Amino acid sequence: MRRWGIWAVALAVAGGTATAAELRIGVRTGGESMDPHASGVGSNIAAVKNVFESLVALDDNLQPSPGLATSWTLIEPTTWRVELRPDVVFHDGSSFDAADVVHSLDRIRTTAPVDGGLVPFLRRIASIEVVDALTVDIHTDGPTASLPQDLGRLLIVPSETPMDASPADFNSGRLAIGTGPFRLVSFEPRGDMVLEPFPDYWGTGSTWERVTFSEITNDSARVAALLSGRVDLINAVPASAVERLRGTSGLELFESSGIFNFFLFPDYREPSPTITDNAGQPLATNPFRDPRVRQALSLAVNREGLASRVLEGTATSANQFLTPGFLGFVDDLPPLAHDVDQARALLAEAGFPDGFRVDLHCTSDRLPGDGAVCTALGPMLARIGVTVTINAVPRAVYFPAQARGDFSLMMNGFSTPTGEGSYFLNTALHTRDPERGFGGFNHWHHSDLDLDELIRAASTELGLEERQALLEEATRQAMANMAVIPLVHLNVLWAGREEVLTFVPRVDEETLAINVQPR
Amino acid sequence: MTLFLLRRLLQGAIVVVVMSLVVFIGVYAIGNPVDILINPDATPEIKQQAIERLGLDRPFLEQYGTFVVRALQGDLGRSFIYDEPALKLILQAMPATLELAIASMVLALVFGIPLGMAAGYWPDSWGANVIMTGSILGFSLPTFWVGLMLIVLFSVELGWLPSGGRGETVVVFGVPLSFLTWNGLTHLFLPALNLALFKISLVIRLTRAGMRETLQQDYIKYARSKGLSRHRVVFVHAFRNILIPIVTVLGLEIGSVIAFAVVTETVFSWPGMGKLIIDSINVLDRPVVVAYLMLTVVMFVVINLLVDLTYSLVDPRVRLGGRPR
Repeated sequence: MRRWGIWAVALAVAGGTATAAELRIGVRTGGESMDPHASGVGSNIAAVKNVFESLVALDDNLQPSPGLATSWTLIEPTTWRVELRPDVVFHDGSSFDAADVVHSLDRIRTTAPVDGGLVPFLRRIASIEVVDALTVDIHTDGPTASLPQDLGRLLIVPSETPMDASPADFNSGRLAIGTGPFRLVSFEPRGDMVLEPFPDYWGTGSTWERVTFSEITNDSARVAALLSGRVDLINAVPASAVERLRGTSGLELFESSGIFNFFLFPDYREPSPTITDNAGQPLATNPFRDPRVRQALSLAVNREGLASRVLEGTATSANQFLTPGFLGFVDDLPPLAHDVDQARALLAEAGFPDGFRVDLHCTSDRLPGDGAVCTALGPMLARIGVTVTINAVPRAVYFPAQARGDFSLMMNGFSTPTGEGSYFLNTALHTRDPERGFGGFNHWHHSDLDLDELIRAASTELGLEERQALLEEATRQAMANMAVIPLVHLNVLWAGREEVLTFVPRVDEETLAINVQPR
Repeated sequence: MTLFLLRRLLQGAIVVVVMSLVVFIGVYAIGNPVDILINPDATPEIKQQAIERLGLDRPFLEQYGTFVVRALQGDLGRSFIYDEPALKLILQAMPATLELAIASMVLALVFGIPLGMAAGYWPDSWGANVIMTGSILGFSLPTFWVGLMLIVLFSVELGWLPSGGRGETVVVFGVPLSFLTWNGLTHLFLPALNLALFKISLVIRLTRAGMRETLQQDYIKYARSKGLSRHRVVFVHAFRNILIPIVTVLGLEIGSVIAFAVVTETVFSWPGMGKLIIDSINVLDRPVVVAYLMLTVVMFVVINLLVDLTYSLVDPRVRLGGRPR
């Protein structure tokens, strides 16, 4: 039977060298859905942000800047007045106004996906009031300093978008209608995403004729795709390939500090499940509750070695939990020392001259080098007499077990996607307090009531300078007690073809097509 | 024959039921998928809502019961991640994997059988030594490494073939296929070869062993002494008899190629089922994992049945079930 009529050539990546007008990007993880409200996962947000925009844009260093809103000002302690940008059109030609904002926020609230999606960024918003077509008042349930950051996460869809639209409607492109610099041409979940520039974009648009994002999960295959010319830019360059790529003419590496830090999180519960003395008998008290023991663990870690050798120069030593430049980062904190003798002395002083035993758990497949760093910590801790059994496990095993409370010592990557200190302090260090919504990820049961007060004060302080002072004070206090043990700060790397493009890295690892310019 | 089929179908059904229980207990034991997916900033309330909406707060037996009832109606659940029916996701990714699997099986037969027959017919020649040594390499080199080496050689150094992806596809009856365009074929070749290397070696070894054994048989000697041409003796009398072990092994192999083409698909970013299942396991997307494993079980049961039926075609002496007559 001849059915030539239904033959259609699907869009795909062609071999050979790209023309200057077409940009091809290989990413480690592509988007799962083009519904901008279907997921809060970073890789998915990075994909949909090419098409959709938020009221407040978060710049390349995650600081708030004008997006679909031109200004946001406090008119009362719990009311923000947001002026919307005039003359913005959606990809279907309809114009953007206050009704779209109200509808988008409603839709985010009702579509809450499995991961919580964008709902966490909405929870302080009590109501939204339309003042006129280009002005809205946002009422919060209390003073909320992080509101501009939160608005930076809420992507805007047209008010015609059905509340219960399925992912298929977005993936087909029918409802993938945003205000962003690119229009969706085609999309396969975790496959290829093809974009073309939107000619009526309100800002400075892109000059590429077409942009294709392809998911290439395997690190070596992604590097090979760049070397063979199948793609022009790749993200998440593995440490092992850095030297090779640096030595290849025609390629350029783009490096930025990232939002991920590796930490050692000691469990504060009494008793803790896997801590024993050297004979395997349970200890009378949990040693991690003693600040001297936590200082000893910190002194045992050779951060330079982790950064330069284990992670092959793609990380830097950390002395606190934020990326430099984020609100709450303390400039004058000294580097954390590596001193085995002092560590042993502190352990002896704390009553553990012979050390103790504990299981160390970490993920092996979540972040670059997580398993390797974890393994390297074993001998470092052994030198001060703390015998650790390393358990590097897949994240599918790690996270449920961590949430169940099975672990005593955890090495975990933690990111700060909001660009300021409240995120980490609120979720990872504040005492677990479901009522007030604090300590949601505090799986180590850390509790310090003085610190809690500082954290809560910072999250309601609306003055920028006062807030910065409170966050910095909280950071100092947490680090003085060594509440968590920072290890290294992960950098993020892209590599691209020099003659084709220039690229501006973003600290949150998002690979946005608008950040790539043809050369 | 009918009795045989009925008995085999019943056995198959039991395997499927047992497997569903094992798979379900397995994913249940790992833990709560919401803990992997949830935003660290989410409140316990948001988390609890997600857990309830997915029915993860129900007792194990209730969750299993719901799964079985829905599965009998053809509904294997919705993916937590993609929010689409798990079965649909798998079936969407299936043509790509099938295409890769069939292409690699074709390569295995086209290269494996002639080389194996030659090595079996002239066992002491230098050619046979080269073939057999080559097959050892095919067995022992890890697919993962070979895949990367193929990319480095043919894509990065020589620039002859693309390093991954599916290339241009042509949609036939709603199914996108790569092998109908030149561009698609160039994309298909390296992953298919990578997947086929092990199977080529396997077929060579089976064919050679079968060939050597068969040629010693009395009926071959008789055929020869009767004055039949060498061609007829080898390709008609011997060939049919060495096919039985090859059919058995390849039957099982095609199952494993389809179910576990994971490594090759990952290295060549081939958008098939293997990649889907690995992505899903990584985030404990339960419905997809369960649906995939159930489909795999069904597939193996069916393939085994087909293999047994093929025996009776290849060798009339094989009787299916029942009492020996």
